[in-house]
Amino acid sequence: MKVIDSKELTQTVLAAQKGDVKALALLIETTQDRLYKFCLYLCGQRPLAQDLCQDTYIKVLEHIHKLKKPEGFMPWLLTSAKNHYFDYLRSSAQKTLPLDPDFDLSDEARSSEQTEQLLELKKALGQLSAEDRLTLLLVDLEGYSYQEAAEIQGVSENAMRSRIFRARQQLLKKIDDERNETQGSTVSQVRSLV
Amino acid sequence: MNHEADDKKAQDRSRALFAAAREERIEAPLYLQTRVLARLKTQQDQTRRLLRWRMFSLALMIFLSLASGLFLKSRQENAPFVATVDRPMAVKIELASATDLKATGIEIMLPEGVSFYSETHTSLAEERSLQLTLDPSFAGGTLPIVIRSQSHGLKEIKIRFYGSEHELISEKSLTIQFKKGDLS
Repeated sequence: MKVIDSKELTQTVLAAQKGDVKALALLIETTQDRLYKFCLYLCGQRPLAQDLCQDTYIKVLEHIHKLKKPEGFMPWLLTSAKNHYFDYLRSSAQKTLPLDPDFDLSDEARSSEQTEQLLELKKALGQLSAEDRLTLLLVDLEGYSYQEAAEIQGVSENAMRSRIFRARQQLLKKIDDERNETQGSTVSQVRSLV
Repeated sequence: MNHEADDKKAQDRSRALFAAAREERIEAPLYLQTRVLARLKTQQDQTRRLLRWRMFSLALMIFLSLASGLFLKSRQENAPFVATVDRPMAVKIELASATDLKATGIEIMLPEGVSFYSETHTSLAEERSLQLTLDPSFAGGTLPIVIRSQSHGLKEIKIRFYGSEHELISEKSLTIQFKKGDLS
C-alpha cells in the first residue's frame, strides 16, 4: 500500500475534484486498507465489508466535487461508510450483526501475543450495538477527537461523550464477564482433575 | 469526581485494548481499486449517456414545438378564403406593403375561370389582368376589387408591385377556395 501524508492526500483530493483519474486511483490506493479495516470492524463480515468499501468509494468519488474541505476527505469517507452500513442494517431489519471474532486474522497475527487480546476485543465488539461499536471505532481505533467523532456520527459533542462513556463501559463489562467465565471454567476443570 | 475517575479508567483500558487492533495489519481485498474504478467509469458513462439523451430529448422537444408552431402558423396564414361560385366577391388588397416598397404600380392577375366584376364597367370581365398606377394618396390604404369565379376549386390571384422604372419589386398571391352552392 502506498502511504502519503495528509498534505499529499489533500493535494490528491484537489486533483481528483478536477477529474484526474490517476488521483482517483491514488486516493483509493492510499485509503483502502484503512477503510476496509474500519468496515470490517464495524460489520465483522468480510464479504459485507468488501461491499461496503466498494459502495462507499463509488458514492464518495462520484460526488467528490461536492467536498468543500479537501482535508476532510477521510472523515467524509468514514461518514459515508457508516451511512451505508446503517442503511444496510435498516434494509435488512437487523440492528446488529453477528461479528465473526476470527475475521481476517492472519497467520502472523494468530501466533502473536496480541492475538488473544484481539479475539477478546472482537468478540466483545460483536455483542455491542452498532452505534456503540461505531463510537468506539471512531474514537479508540481511528483516534478521532470527540468533536470529530460527533461530526461523523451526526450528534452533538455532549451526546458523543455520553455515548463513548456508555460504549466503553459496555465493552469492558463484556470483556470482564468473558474473562470471569473463562477463569471459572478453568478453575472447575482443575478442581475436577484434582 | 468518581465519575471522572471511572471515565478515565475506562478510557485507558479501552485504548489499551484497541492498541492491538490499531497494530493489526488488515489489507483491503485485491482488485478493490480496479473494481471501484471500473464501476465508477461505467456509472459515469451511463450518466453521460443519460445526460446526452436528456439534452437530445430536450432539443427534439424544442424543435418539434417550434416546427409545429410554425406549421400551424403557416397553415393559418395560407388558409384560403372561401367564396361561392358565380357570386361576386369583394377583395381588399392592402397597400401598406406597397408604400413600404415604394411601388408606383400594381398588377392584379387572375387565374383561369376568375374574372373582374363591375356592374358599371362590364367590359372589365374580359380582362385577365389589371394594371394600376399607385397614387401616393393610397398610402397605407386598401384597394378594393370585386371578382367572380365561374368554376369551383382553389384559385390563386397574383399581385405584382412595380417600381418607377417598371421593374418588378415584389409579388404576392391570394388564394381563394371557390365552392358551389350556398356557404351558409
